[in-house]
Amino acid sequence: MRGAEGYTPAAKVLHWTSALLVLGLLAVGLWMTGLPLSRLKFVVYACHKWIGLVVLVLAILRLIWRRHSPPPALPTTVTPWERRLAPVGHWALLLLVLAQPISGWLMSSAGGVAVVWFGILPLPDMVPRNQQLFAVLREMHHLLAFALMAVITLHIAAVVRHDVLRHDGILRRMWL
Amino acid sequence: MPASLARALLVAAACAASLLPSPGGAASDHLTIGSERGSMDFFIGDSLIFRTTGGFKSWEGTIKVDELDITKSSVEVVVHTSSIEMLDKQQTMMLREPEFFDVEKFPEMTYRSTAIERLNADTLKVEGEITLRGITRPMTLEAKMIDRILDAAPGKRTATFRAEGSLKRSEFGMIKYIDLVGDKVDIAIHTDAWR
Repeated sequence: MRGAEGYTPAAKVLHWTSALLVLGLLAVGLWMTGLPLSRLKFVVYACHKWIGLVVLVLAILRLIWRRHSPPPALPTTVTPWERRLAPVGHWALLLLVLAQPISGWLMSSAGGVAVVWFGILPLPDMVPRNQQLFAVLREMHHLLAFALMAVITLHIAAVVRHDVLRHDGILRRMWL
Repeated sequence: MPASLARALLVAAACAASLLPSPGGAASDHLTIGSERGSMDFFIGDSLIFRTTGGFKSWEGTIKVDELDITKSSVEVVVHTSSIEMLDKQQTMMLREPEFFDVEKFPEMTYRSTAIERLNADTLKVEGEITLRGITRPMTLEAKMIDRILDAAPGKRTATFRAEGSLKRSEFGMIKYIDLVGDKVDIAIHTDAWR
């Protein structure tokens, strides 16, 4: 490792918790839409929404934490073009992780399905039930999921490029 | 007579006139309601896992209004069960199956009033019987008149109503997923009425 400064413990916990939940939600999201209507499907959909809203809360906390404690400076091995691209990728990830649960909440409301968070907290409907809006939001939720997968792939590829090929400690900045 | 008193009497007379039979002279009116100019939605709202909504897209009814004695009025509604629609196609298909509305065997759901009582100037309590899947149970609707157009021509909107009530689906033998989706179903009807 050549002089890479690390993230704060809070930033690391928020990052890895979000990462695990988002990867799980993407996998479950792709699987659950093909399920036949069943008890399992009702439960999986409810859990997907509940966990998705946890991700939304974590994303908001990350934005607040980022403002309170900005990310550490990139190591000197990072080239100028990578230095320009890195924040774009990080912001794209953060915005997608914010937008995806919001689009899901909107879609659920437009579909006439209210969310009771973990079966405890009834959440308000963000929009009234509307068939056309539901169709648009469902498409948006799917597109955002694929955009998120693409950006996550690029994010992991960038980390591998730095840490495996260059050994410049990028991954270790965020490692627990 | 002071001018202010005369004005007050005129206003009172106008108000009273609005509660009397329509100027056509009929003390009773036969009005039509239905999906052509209205909506019938339901909300399954007591579940902590899955709260959802849907509607019936084809239904019609008649209201016999006795304006002199509202208790002599009556309502009948027929709902075509195959017109049930959720925004999710799988759920729509499931609700048409024998474990739910069994639309092949029971193509109609009916509601007939048995007693009508005026709660206030705009609101009526309608007691009646709903028949669903061949099972008849009492059901009370609270109907509120949102708008009234006196002298509306035949075929034109003469009133707009909103009626609400609820039932337990288990009482009609629909118990599938009751622990996940809930038992109580709220029903809301919003419709124009016309002669």
